[in-house]
Amino acid sequence: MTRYVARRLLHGILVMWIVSTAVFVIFRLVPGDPAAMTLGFDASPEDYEALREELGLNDPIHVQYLRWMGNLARGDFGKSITHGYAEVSSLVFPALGRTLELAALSILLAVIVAVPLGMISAIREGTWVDHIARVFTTLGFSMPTYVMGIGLLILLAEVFPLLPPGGYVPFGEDPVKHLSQLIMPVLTIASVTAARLTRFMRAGMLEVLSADYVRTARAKGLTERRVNYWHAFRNAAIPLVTEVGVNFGLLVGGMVVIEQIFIWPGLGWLMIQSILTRAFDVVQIAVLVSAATFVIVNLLVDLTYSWLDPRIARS
Amino acid sequence: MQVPLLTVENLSVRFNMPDQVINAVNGVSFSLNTGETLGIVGESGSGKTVTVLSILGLIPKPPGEITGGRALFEGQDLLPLSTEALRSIRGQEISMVFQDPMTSLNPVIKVGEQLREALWTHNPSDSRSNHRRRGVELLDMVGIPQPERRYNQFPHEYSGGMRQRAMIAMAMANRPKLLIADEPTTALDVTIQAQVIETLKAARQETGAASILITHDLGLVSQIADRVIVMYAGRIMEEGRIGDIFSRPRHPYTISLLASIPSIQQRRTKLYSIPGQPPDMANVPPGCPFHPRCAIGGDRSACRSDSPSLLDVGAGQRAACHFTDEAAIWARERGT
Repeated sequence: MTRYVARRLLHGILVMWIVSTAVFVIFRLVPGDPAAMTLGFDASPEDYEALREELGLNDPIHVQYLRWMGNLARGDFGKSITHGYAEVSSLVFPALGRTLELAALSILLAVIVAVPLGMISAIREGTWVDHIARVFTTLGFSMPTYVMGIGLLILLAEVFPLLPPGGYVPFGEDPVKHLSQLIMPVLTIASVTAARLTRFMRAGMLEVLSADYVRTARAKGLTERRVNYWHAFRNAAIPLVTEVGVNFGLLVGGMVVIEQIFIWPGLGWLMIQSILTRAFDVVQIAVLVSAATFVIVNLLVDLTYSWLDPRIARS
Repeated sequence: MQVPLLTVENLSVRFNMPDQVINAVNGVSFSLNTGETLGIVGESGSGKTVTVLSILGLIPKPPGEITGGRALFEGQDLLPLSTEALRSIRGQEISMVFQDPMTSLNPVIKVGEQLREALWTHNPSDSRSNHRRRGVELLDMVGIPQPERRYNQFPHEYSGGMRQRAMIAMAMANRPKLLIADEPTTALDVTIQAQVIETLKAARQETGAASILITHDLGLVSQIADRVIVMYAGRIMEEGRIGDIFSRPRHPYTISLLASIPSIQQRRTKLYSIPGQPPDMANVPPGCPFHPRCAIGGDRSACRSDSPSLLDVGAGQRAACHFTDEAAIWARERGT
């Protein structure tokens, strides 16, 4: 088990190294260097040269690369010129926290809805419960998040002004307002994710319900409840953990549109703002942090997986 | 006259598939006495497994549907029972060992836990430690070494033969009156097969349970069954005491099956095999379902149009063939 954890950890570090190298390559080698990106097209050649020197862009590429990796390894994410030399980490990490809050609540709600719905849908395959669940999942699947988000905004902020139309107030400042601002983005994201997870849970349960060991469990004289919610569910839950993890990881990196709609200052929102203000030094760290979150979530998923499935850790 | 433990009368089961209807079992009747062992033999798809699964209400409905018949266990018809009522029969009065021990145990639950569960569900008031003790005892009974340690292991830590022993332990846990073993050795290595059969025999002796052994292996049936039923296309072709079936088979299908057992005494250069393929269960030939492959009745109009009923041919032997006398002569000529 320790070896398994160590191997997965090493694997994660390797992925992070590849991602940080990729970010380095993309931001240095694409046309229009960081100095030009920061200053825009109308800067004077003197300013441009000065900034290139300041950013170390005149150094040989391997020196730049080693400096980049060295800084990252020390946890030094640099300062942002466009944000008045503020620490980049002081911009990115609070934004990440806000994105994680949104993603975690959405995933939690999605799981709470999807697991029972998917299970009942599979156990009662072909009945009206199943049909309703399938209408719901198809709807959630086919509706883009921004349509759902804007629809909610119109309904709950415009037609029936029950909720604030977005924005962000820290929890410590005004808990009620904070939570009311969360409701719509969470509902939007959760409905789409819940649709996906319900379908996944249903398919997984259906497969497991026809397994030989489920028949064995019935033949032993166990109750239907015990057969469905213990024997079948435990097996169907294993792939679900991966699916939930992958969805969570995707949410952290894929909340750009939702955060724009609801003016939620998370990582996606910060990325868009930084691109608009040409703050490449923030964008590159935001990309890196979002990738790191994905890697960490996957690592946690793998560990949960090995805990749930006794066959994994030993192979 | 002894009252049979289990009497199946005219059982018919079909599967309503989206594009076709499969008549898996057609009017099957047989009975089983206390302590007796019945072998059910037939090729894949002959309805052996569906027959016994229907008795315990274990076929998936839909698409499965029991269209007729009764299954009297100690006088009570099991077929109309609710799932809840069947629960007290399953695993307690009648238990099953399945074909593939690799997939029949739940992979994420410890073997001991699965064993304890079988005990607990029928005796919920008994203490956990009692169940555990009895569980370890059962593992020991079926010949699993170090039962204490093995109790806490997962199925993937067991070999195939050990898993099947654990399945047998589970099936015997509540001392059932009837044990049904569905091809219990088919998925195992030949060397392990004999051990598992010995375990099965020992378990049966220990509890005095009657048993049904489903197999396509006539040799295996001859070793442990008292009586045998030969099934084809969801029907019983022949039934009788094991000695009679082997020495005086009266149905061409049985004769053909016996002829395809390899024998050491007569080293044939080529093993006999029944011509043709087992029938497509969605399109069973009219008349006798075996007639296209039959050496005796292949071209006769009676065989092609009339389905023969299962009739007494003497000494408790029954055969479903229009020409049982000719079949008997053919069998003697073949020297099977």
